[in-house]
Amino acid sequence: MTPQRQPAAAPGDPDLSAVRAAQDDRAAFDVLYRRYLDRVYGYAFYQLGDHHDAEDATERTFLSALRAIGRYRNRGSTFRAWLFRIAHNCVANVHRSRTRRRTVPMPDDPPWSAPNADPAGLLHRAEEMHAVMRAIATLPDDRRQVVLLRFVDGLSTAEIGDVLGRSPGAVRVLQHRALRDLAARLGRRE
Amino acid sequence: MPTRPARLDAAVDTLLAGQPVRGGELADIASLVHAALGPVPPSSRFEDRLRRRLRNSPRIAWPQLSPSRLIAAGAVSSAAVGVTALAVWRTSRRQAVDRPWYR
Repeated sequence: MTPQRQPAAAPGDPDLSAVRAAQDDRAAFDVLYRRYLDRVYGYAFYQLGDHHDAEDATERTFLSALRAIGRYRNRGSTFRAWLFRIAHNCVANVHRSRTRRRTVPMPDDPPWSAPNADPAGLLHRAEEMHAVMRAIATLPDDRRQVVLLRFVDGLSTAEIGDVLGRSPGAVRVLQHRALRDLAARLGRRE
Repeated sequence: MPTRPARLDAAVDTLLAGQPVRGGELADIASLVHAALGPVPPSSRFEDRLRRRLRNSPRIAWPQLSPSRLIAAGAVSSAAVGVTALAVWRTSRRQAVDRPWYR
Protein backbone atom coordinates (compact mmCIF):
# COMPACT_ATOMS: atom_id res chain seq x y z
CA MET A 1 0.00 0.00 0.00
CA THR A 2 1.45 3.35 -0.99
CA PRO A 3 1.44 5.88 1.81
CA GLN A 4 -0.31 9.04 0.81
CA ARG A 5 -0.63 12.43 2.30
CA GLN A 6 -3.48 14.71 1.61
CA PRO A 7 -3.66 18.46 1.92
CA ALA A 8 -6.23 20.21 4.02
CA ALA A 9 -9.73 18.83 3.68
CA ALA A 10 -11.84 20.14 0.89
CA PRO A 11 -15.24 21.52 1.81
CA GLY A 12 -17.57 18.60 2.49
CA ASP A 13 -16.51 15.15 3.47
CA PRO A 14 -14.88 13.08 0.71
CA ASP A 15 -15.41 9.91 2.73
CA LEU A 16 -19.14 10.27 3.19
CA SER A 17 -20.23 7.80 0.47
CA ALA A 18 -17.76 5.19 1.75
CA VAL A 19 -19.02 5.73 5.29
CA ARG A 20 -22.64 5.26 4.20
CA ALA A 21 -21.70 2.08 2.38
CA ALA A 22 -19.93 0.79 5.50
CA GLN A 23 -22.99 1.58 7.61
CA ASP A 24 -25.10 -0.62 5.34
CA ASP A 25 -22.56 -3.36 4.75
CA ARG A 26 -19.65 -3.95 7.09
CA ALA A 27 -17.57 -5.45 4.26
CA ALA A 28 -17.47 -1.96 2.75
CA PHE A 29 -15.49 -0.77 5.78
CA ASP A 30 -12.47 -2.25 4.02
CA VAL A 31 -12.37 0.81 1.74
CA LEU A 32 -11.95 3.12 4.75
CA TYR A 33 -9.47 0.73 6.32
CA ARG A 34 -7.25 0.76 3.23
CA ARG A 35 -7.59 4.52 2.90
CA TYR A 36 -6.57 5.35 6.46
CA LEU A 37 -4.44 2.49 7.73
CA ASP A 38 -1.09 4.09 6.88
CA ARG A 39 -1.99 7.45 8.32
CA VAL A 40 -3.44 6.12 11.55
CA TYR A 41 -0.43 3.86 11.91
CA GLY A 42 1.99 6.73 11.19
CA TYR A 43 0.27 8.94 13.75
CA ALA A 44 0.44 6.16 16.37
CA PHE A 45 4.06 5.38 15.54
CA TYR A 46 5.24 8.97 15.87
CA GLN A 47 3.25 9.39 19.08
CA LEU A 48 4.38 6.19 20.76
CA GLY A 49 7.84 5.70 19.26
CA ASP A 50 7.48 1.95 18.90
CA HIS A 51 6.14 -0.32 16.16
CA HIS A 52 4.57 -2.78 18.58
CA ASP A 53 2.68 -0.05 20.45
CA ALA A 54 1.69 1.56 17.15
CA GLU A 55 0.18 -1.73 15.98
CA ASP A 56 -1.71 -2.03 19.27
CA ALA A 57 -3.14 1.50 19.00
CA THR A 58 -3.97 1.09 15.30
CA GLU A 59 -5.81 -2.16 15.96
CA ARG A 60 -7.83 -0.61 18.79
CA THR A 61 -8.65 2.38 16.59
CA PHE A 62 -10.07 0.41 13.67
CA LEU A 63 -11.95 -2.08 15.84
CA SER A 64 -13.55 0.82 17.76
CA ALA A 65 -14.34 2.64 14.52
CA LEU A 66 -15.97 -0.47 13.05
CA ARG A 67 -18.09 -0.92 16.18
CA ALA A 68 -19.15 2.73 16.21
CA ILE A 69 -19.55 3.51 12.52
CA GLY A 70 -23.27 2.77 12.58
CA ARG A 71 -23.69 5.71 14.94
CA TYR A 72 -21.47 8.09 12.96
CA ARG A 73 -23.32 11.19 11.84
CA ASN A 74 -21.91 13.93 9.68
CA ARG A 75 -22.30 16.92 11.97
CA GLY A 76 -20.21 19.54 10.22
CA SER A 77 -16.98 17.65 10.67
CA THR A 78 -15.32 14.99 8.55
CA PHE A 79 -15.02 11.24 8.93
CA ARG A 80 -11.26 11.44 9.21
CA ALA A 81 -11.52 13.94 12.09
CA TRP A 82 -13.86 11.44 13.80
CA LEU A 83 -11.45 8.58 13.08
CA PHE A 84 -8.45 10.49 14.39
CA ARG A 85 -10.36 11.42 17.53
CA ILE A 86 -10.70 7.68 18.15
CA ALA A 87 -7.01 7.19 17.29
CA HIS A 88 -6.06 10.02 19.66
CA ASN A 89 -7.93 8.30 22.52
CA CYS A 90 -6.51 4.87 21.68
CA VAL A 91 -2.96 6.24 21.56
CA ALA A 92 -3.52 7.87 24.95
CA ASN A 93 -4.78 4.56 26.37
CA VAL A 94 -1.81 2.62 25.03
CA HIS A 95 0.52 5.33 26.32
CA ARG A 96 -1.03 5.09 29.78
CA SER A 97 -0.88 1.29 29.83
CA ARG A 98 2.81 1.27 28.93
CA THR A 99 5.40 2.92 31.10
CA ARG A 100 8.11 3.24 28.52
CA ARG A 101 9.74 6.61 28.18
CA ARG A 102 9.12 8.59 25.06
CA THR A 103 11.72 7.89 22.40
CA VAL A 104 12.58 9.69 19.22
CA PRO A 105 10.89 7.55 16.57
CA MET A 106 12.57 7.19 13.22
CA PRO A 107 11.13 5.33 10.23
CA ASP A 108 13.02 2.15 9.30
CA ASP A 109 13.39 3.42 5.76
CA PRO A 110 13.60 7.21 6.04
CA PRO A 111 12.13 8.93 2.99
CA TRP A 112 14.95 11.46 2.78
CA SER A 113 17.63 8.77 2.32
CA ALA A 114 16.59 7.35 -1.05
CA PRO A 115 17.29 10.00 -3.65
CA ASN A 116 20.62 11.21 -2.29
CA ALA A 117 23.51 9.01 -3.33
CA ASP A 118 26.28 11.21 -1.93
CA PRO A 119 27.33 9.65 1.43
CA ALA A 120 28.48 12.95 2.99
CA GLY A 121 25.28 14.69 1.93
CA LEU A 122 23.26 11.73 3.12
CA LEU A 123 24.91 11.81 6.53
CA HIS A 124 24.36 15.54 6.88
CA ARG A 125 20.72 15.14 5.88
CA ALA A 126 20.21 12.26 8.31
CA GLU A 127 21.72 14.30 11.16
CA GLU A 128 19.52 17.24 10.30
CA MET A 129 16.42 15.03 10.30
CA HIS A 130 17.41 13.42 13.59
CA ALA A 131 17.78 16.89 15.09
CA VAL A 132 14.29 17.80 13.85
CA MET A 133 12.84 14.60 15.32
CA ARG A 134 14.55 15.19 18.66
CA ALA A 135 13.21 18.75 18.72
CA ILE A 136 9.67 17.54 17.94
CA ALA A 137 9.89 14.97 20.75
CA THR A 138 10.66 17.73 23.27
CA LEU A 139 7.71 19.95 22.29
CA PRO A 140 4.91 20.37 24.82
CA ASP A 141 2.25 17.73 24.31
CA ASP A 142 -0.44 19.90 22.70
CA ARG A 143 2.02 21.44 20.21
CA ARG A 144 3.47 18.03 19.32
CA GLN A 145 -0.03 16.68 18.72
CA VAL A 146 -0.80 19.52 16.34
CA VAL A 147 2.47 19.02 14.42
CA LEU A 148 1.88 15.29 14.01
CA LEU A 149 -1.77 15.56 12.99
CA ARG A 150 -0.92 18.34 10.55
CA PHE A 151 2.27 17.03 8.97
CA VAL A 152 1.92 13.25 9.25
CA ASP A 153 -1.80 12.97 8.61
CA GLY A 154 -2.48 16.12 6.62
CA LEU A 155 -5.47 17.16 8.71
CA SER A 156 -6.70 20.73 8.40
CA THR A 157 -6.65 23.00 11.42
CA ALA A 158 -10.45 22.68 11.66
CA GLU A 159 -10.19 18.87 11.74
CA ILE A 160 -7.40 19.00 14.32
CA GLY A 161 -9.64 21.28 16.35
CA ASP A 162 -12.31 18.54 16.26
CA VAL A 163 -9.80 15.91 17.35
CA LEU A 164 -8.33 17.93 20.21
CA GLY A 165 -11.45 19.85 21.23
CA ARG A 166 -10.06 23.27 20.29
CA SER A 167 -11.07 26.01 17.89
CA PRO A 168 -9.33 26.21 14.48
CA GLY A 169 -7.83 29.55 15.54
CA ALA A 170 -6.34 28.00 18.68
CA VAL A 171 -4.87 25.19 16.56
CA ARG A 172 -3.29 27.73 14.18
CA VAL A 173 -1.72 29.50 17.16
CA LEU A 174 -0.42 26.18 18.54
CA GLN A 175 1.04 25.34 15.13
CA HIS A 176 2.74 28.73 14.95
CA ARG A 177 4.17 28.34 18.45
CA ALA A 178 5.32 24.79 17.72
CA LEU A 179 7.22 25.83 14.59
CA ARG A 180 8.67 28.84 16.43
CA ASP A 181 9.84 26.51 19.24
CA LEU A 182 11.36 24.17 16.70
CA ALA A 183 13.18 27.06 15.02
CA ALA A 184 14.63 28.07 18.39
CA ARG A 185 15.63 24.50 19.26
CA LEU A 186 17.28 24.02 15.90
CA GLY A 187 19.23 27.25 16.38
CA ARG A 188 17.38 29.25 13.77
CA ARG A 189 15.82 32.64 14.10
CA GLU A 190 12.30 33.48 13.08
CA MET B 1 -5.08 41.41 7.27
CA PRO B 2 -4.38 37.77 8.18
CA THR B 3 -2.52 37.10 11.38
CA ARG B 4 0.91 35.47 11.42
CA PRO B 5 -0.50 32.07 12.49
CA ALA B 6 -3.05 32.29 9.65
CA ARG B 7 -0.35 33.18 7.09
CA LEU B 8 1.83 30.34 8.31
CA ASP B 9 -1.14 27.97 8.13
CA ALA B 10 -1.72 28.95 4.50
CA ALA B 11 1.97 28.25 3.80
CA VAL B 12 1.66 24.81 5.42
CA ASP B 13 -1.42 24.11 3.27
CA THR B 14 0.66 24.90 0.19
CA LEU B 15 3.46 22.67 1.43
CA LEU B 16 1.13 19.74 2.12
CA ALA B 17 -0.32 20.15 -1.36
CA GLY B 18 3.17 19.36 -2.67
CA GLN B 19 4.17 22.85 -3.73
CA PRO B 20 7.26 24.76 -2.62
CA VAL B 21 6.75 27.48 -0.05
CA ARG B 22 8.46 30.79 0.41
CA GLY B 23 8.00 33.20 3.22
CA GLY B 24 10.35 33.20 6.12
CA GLU B 25 12.16 30.99 8.54
CA LEU B 26 9.07 29.27 9.91
CA ALA B 27 8.01 28.17 6.44
CA ASP B 28 11.50 26.64 6.05
CA ILE B 29 11.09 24.89 9.38
CA ALA B 30 7.70 23.61 8.20
CA SER B 31 9.44 22.15 5.11
CA LEU B 32 12.03 20.45 7.32
CA VAL B 33 9.34 18.99 9.58
CA HIS B 34 7.40 17.78 6.55
CA ALA B 35 10.52 16.04 5.23
CA ALA B 36 11.41 14.52 8.61
CA LEU B 37 7.95 13.13 9.33
CA GLY B 38 7.88 10.71 6.44
CA PRO B 39 5.21 8.06 5.99
CA VAL B 40 5.61 4.96 8.14
CA PRO B 41 3.73 2.07 6.54
CA PRO B 42 2.84 -0.86 8.78
CA SER B 43 4.09 -4.35 8.01
CA SER B 44 2.00 -6.30 5.51
CA ARG B 45 1.64 -9.09 8.06
CA PHE B 46 0.00 -6.70 10.53
CA GLU B 47 -2.15 -5.22 7.79
CA ASP B 48 -3.49 -8.65 6.76
CA ARG B 49 -4.02 -9.77 10.37
CA LEU B 50 -6.02 -6.67 11.26
CA ARG B 51 -8.06 -6.93 8.06
CA ARG B 52 -9.02 -10.50 9.01
CA ARG B 53 -9.95 -9.38 12.53
CA LEU B 54 -12.14 -6.61 11.16
CA ARG B 55 -13.91 -9.03 8.81
CA ASN B 56 -14.47 -11.59 11.55
CA SER B 57 -15.34 -9.31 14.45
CA PRO B 58 -18.85 -10.04 15.75
CA ARG B 59 -21.61 -8.02 14.28
CA ILE B 60 -23.34 -5.64 16.66
CA ALA B 61 -26.90 -4.59 16.04
CA TRP B 62 -26.47 -0.83 15.90
CA PRO B 63 -30.06 0.05 16.93
CA GLN B 64 -29.51 -1.83 20.18
CA LEU B 65 -26.76 0.60 21.04
CA SER B 66 -28.78 3.77 20.56
CA PRO B 67 -29.19 5.80 23.79
CA SER B 68 -33.00 5.89 23.64
CA ARG B 69 -33.20 2.09 23.40
CA LEU B 70 -30.76 1.70 26.26
CA ILE B 71 -32.82 4.07 28.44
CA ALA B 72 -36.07 2.25 27.58
CA ALA B 73 -34.49 -1.13 28.31
CA GLY B 74 -33.16 0.20 31.64
CA ALA B 75 -36.59 1.58 32.61
CA VAL B 76 -38.36 -1.68 31.78
CA SER B 77 -35.90 -3.78 33.76
CA SER B 78 -36.05 -1.37 36.73
CA ALA B 79 -39.86 -1.58 36.72
CA ALA B 80 -39.67 -5.38 36.59
CA VAL B 81 -37.32 -5.43 39.58
CA GLY B 82 -39.68 -3.08 41.48
CA VAL B 83 -42.77 -5.20 40.76
CA THR B 84 -40.95 -8.36 41.84
CA ALA B 85 -39.75 -6.72 45.06
CA LEU B 86 -43.29 -5.51 45.85
CA ALA B 87 -44.76 -8.97 45.23
CA VAL B 88 -42.17 -10.59 47.49
CA TRP B 89 -42.80 -8.02 50.20
CA ARG B 90 -46.59 -8.42 50.08
CA THR B 91 -46.36 -12.20 50.10
CA SER B 92 -44.06 -12.25 53.09
CA ARG B 93 -46.29 -9.72 54.91
CA ARG B 94 -49.41 -11.76 54.26
CA GLN B 95 -47.71 -14.90 55.53
CA ALA B 96 -46.63 -13.04 58.65
CA VAL B 97 -50.23 -11.87 59.30
CA ASP B 98 -51.72 -15.34 58.68
CA ARG B 99 -49.17 -17.09 60.92
CA PRO B 100 -50.49 -17.72 64.49
CA TRP B 101 -48.60 -15.61 67.03
CA TYR B 102 -47.75 -18.57 69.31
CA ARG B 103 -45.79 -20.59 66.71
